[in-house]
Amino acid sequence: MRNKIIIAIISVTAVFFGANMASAASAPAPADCALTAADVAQIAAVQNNPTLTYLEEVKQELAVRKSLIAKIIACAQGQADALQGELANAQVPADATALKSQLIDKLSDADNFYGIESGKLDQAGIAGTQAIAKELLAWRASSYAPLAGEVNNFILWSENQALFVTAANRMDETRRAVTFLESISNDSDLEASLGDAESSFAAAQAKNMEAKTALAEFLPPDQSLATIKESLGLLSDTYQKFSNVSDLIKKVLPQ
Amino acid sequence: MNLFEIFKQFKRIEPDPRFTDRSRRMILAAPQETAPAIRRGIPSVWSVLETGIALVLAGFFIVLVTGKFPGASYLSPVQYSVINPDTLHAEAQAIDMQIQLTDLNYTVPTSSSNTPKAAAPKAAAPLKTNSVHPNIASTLNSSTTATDTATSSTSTVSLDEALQQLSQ
Repeated sequence: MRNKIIIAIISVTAVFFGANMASAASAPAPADCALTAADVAQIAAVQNNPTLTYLEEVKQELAVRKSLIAKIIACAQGQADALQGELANAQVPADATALKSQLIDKLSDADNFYGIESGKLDQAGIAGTQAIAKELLAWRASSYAPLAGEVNNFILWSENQALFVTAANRMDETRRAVTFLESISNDSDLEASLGDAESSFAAAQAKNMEAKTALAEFLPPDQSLATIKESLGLLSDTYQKFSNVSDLIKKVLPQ
Repeated sequence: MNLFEIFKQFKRIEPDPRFTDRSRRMILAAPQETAPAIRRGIPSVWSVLETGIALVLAGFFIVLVTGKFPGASYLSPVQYSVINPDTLHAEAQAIDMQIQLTDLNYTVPTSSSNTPKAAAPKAAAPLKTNSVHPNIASTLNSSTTATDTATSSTSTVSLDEALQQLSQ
């Protein structure tokens, strides 16, 4: 009997605390990947080396360029993979899983693009490496940067949903408390204050949905981020209203 | 003989003593299945009860340690959390922190570091060196001192900055 109690306590405790520990697990740490000015300066060092013949200089410069671009591509792939991992680990609402999968696929496409560019390096000369660098730069500005912004915004928005759920619970509790207290004391201020909180929360929820639509429609990241920020601002205002209701409840309740 | 007398005679009907003896012996000799089944059942019922009691006790200890249980919030008409300034403040603070995160959120793509949010200001800093490709030199500060160069040669360059230099 005693053994069973000990085993049961251990099991129940493990289940009780295990869930929290599991949720605290984070994405794998990305590998170290830093380029320094000295790395880039190797090209000039080769070009300015008077001991090299023209052919040696060209060969060495090409080798340095290829090495740097390969490193950049590896770093960029690491960034995309890390972002993809972060996205994959993000807890999203059930109705947002399709968008999550879509974004994961887009990051896989980005990874593939880097792979294709990396494949071009073998046959490239100096002009070829310059062209690859230009292509990568333009693609990162036009495609990857908006995608990364979108993914980061989506993760941020997903994290916000827990705050909205908590606020909804608080709204319910507050409403129940006010309804109960109104049945024993007619306090019009309390009702008005609850109305303020309800309308503020409704506005926050509407803005939150607007942010979700912006993300689903792949609107520019700064636009969806601004909407997310607005929704949080409105949610923050709602808590100020909750605080007002709470103060009024405290006045009504017997001390 | 009327009908009532016939009925009275029925009272005197008895089974054949030999049949009674034989039947009793057969019944007593037959394997008694019900009694062992019950005896077997008692330990298993006790085992289930024991496990149940153990779980209830474990739950009780958890409640004792944490001081709460899931259904507690539904019992009171006025929830303590509604008027508890600490929980209200904590939830509001979580929102404020999330608002601050929105300010950091869009600095990610340009950094070469894989911890982009923290490294963003560094990535945004201009590259300072006088020992780079001649095509790049024009974009840099020509009056940089030797000390500056030593420091800047180890400074982090964003992927896009490096690509910009490699494309020239």
